[in-house]
Amino acid sequence: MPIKCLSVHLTDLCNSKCTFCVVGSPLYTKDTIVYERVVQFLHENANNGYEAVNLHGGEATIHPRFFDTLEYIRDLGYPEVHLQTNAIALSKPEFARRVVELGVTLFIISLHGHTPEVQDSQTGTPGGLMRTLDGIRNVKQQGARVRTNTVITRQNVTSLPAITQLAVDVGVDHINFSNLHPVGSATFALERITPTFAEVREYLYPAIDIAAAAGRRVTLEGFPYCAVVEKAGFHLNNEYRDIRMLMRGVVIEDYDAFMSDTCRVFVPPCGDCAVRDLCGGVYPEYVQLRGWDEFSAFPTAGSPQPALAGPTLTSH
Amino acid sequence: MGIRVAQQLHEAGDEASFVVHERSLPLLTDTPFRRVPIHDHLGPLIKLLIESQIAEEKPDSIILADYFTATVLFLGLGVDPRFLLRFDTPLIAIDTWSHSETGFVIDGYGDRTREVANWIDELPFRLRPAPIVRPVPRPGVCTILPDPVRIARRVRNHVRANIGLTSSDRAVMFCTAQWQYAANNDEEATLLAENVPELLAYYVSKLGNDVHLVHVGPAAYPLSGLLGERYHWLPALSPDQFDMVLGSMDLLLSANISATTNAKAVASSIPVVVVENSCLAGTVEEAEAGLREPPSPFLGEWIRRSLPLYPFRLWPLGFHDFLQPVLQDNSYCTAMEVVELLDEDRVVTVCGGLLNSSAAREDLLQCQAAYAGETARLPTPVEIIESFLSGDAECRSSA
Repeated sequence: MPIKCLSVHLTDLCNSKCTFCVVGSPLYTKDTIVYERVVQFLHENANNGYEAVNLHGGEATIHPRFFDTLEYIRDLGYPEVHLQTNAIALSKPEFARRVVELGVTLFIISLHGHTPEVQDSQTGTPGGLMRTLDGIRNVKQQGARVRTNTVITRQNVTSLPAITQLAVDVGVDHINFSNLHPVGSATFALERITPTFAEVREYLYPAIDIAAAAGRRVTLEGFPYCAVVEKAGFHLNNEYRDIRMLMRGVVIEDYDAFMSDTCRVFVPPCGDCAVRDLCGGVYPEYVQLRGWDEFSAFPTAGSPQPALAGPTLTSH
Repeated sequence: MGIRVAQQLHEAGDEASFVVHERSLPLLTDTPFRRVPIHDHLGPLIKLLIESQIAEEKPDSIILADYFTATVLFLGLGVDPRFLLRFDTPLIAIDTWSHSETGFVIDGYGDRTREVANWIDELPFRLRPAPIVRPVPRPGVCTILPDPVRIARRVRNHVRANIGLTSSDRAVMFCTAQWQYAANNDEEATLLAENVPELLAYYVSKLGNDVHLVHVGPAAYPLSGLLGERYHWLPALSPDQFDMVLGSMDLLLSANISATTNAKAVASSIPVVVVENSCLAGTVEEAEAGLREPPSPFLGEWIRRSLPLYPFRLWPLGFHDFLQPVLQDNSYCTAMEVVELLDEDRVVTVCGGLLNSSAAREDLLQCQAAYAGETARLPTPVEIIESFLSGDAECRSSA
């Protein structure tokens, strides 16, 4: 069910050094976020119908005022808090317990590998995978919902089925796969880490099948619709339809529109595409690297129809 | 150059706005400056555009950034640039090449030359930026040496790792711009535009298995055959990202002696090797006659495929003889190693020395520091502009 969400970039800093970090956290040596602006943003949007606050970064849990922020959100009466995290801090049971007690109901946890070799080499945190898994278990034990987010790279693409099985085994409720957005840290690693969509599909589709067979929710984020035609019913971009974001002092009124208007482009085959508005286009950095031969207008009449009209998709 | 001057003016509390060709608009991305685009279809109407901008903004001065580019642009639109002298507003030219030394005839593409309209003597105010002009106090000479790039070790490690370098690898950076891919539909220039990166990659391949070539530019070159996974292409980067990459490199290899990246590397204590070519050759024999030793099989084959060769200091345009006077006795050339394109042994020895010998590296870094010291004693562009506008006759830029 789409909800109205307030989204807060709490810090630029992170205790991971992901090769593909979209906000480039490993490139920051000090935080540019003015905490008072975060407080002001939360305050001025309270009682405006926002159903959830989504905290992210960087790594929100390492912010020195992290717990203060959760308390403040609770005191302002926001119904839900969602936390995007690598869950390393949550590997301490007491930390996890306190976070849940302060109102975090959904943890969106980065899971980019099924073995330390695959995960930790991409996140630059030796031992990180094990702590992330402990973190997932700890918050599940507290009754919270967990969605994993797996950014698909050349380094983990063949592991997608195994990563999915691991997520299922540790009790994850919802498994999300993100198309690599080649900005931030990824700018320096484009060729090395960016898979083609043909490579992605070969492993992504079996992974989706594993999650679905286990009864878990599966979503895809940031994929051009024509790149995953057979799985078009799984796109995430319907979940939040009204996201107001505070990002490094700038308020983005409509995150979806921002992504479509400034972070994506339409390529020639998009011209006649029936789902152009829903899809939003492709990342220009990908097009610069790989060209646009892989893209085509989404199949319409006469073609096998994916679940485009499913309940998880809403139009603008 | 114009943007650097505008930024300095901005920092000094002045306002700057640009009337700029549409091709150059991306350079102004993320800058605070107003911009009015010039489209090619404008033609002579450019005069009206400029007039209306001056009437609207009432500027204290008009800066040609630079004289060469602006002159070529106006003439290309069918307008004599002297119309700018009609306004009461002081007209200041950035005289990048120090035309009083270089003259106005530019060599390029073999024996072809191009003459730039000479009206600079009608301009009372000229900024002569060092680099590339000699950092010697003279009217109009100012420092344009960029601030050094300084990045934290953890950032450097992250950038290098993301590029695909291990901690023991050495990285050689090579930068290209769009204009270096195909030169004005000229067959010879385009051939050299295509082939020079291959020869440079070959030289890098001889530096050792742990030496990588990091190429930043609009499009990758097909160099994997020579370097395999030691060739890394990065697309055009934002200024911040570019600085991060530059600051993470062990050596900058350039085929354009006047590139601003060279100056930034010099300021940042990053060794720079500039490749130039003085060989004008229509045949293999002519090309080999200038070599100290017979060419290696690769170089010999490369020469055969790249004929005719023409001299350049700005690859692939030429500018070889044109730049000679301004580079003569210029300490800028001591802040970098300048090597001949076809001198395989010297290119490899110099690059290898700077990568492997701390003594060789230290020697060059000391020269860079000395050069930076010389430029630091020069006034800034803003100081000179303020002197111009305050009527300081000493600053008037006669040759």
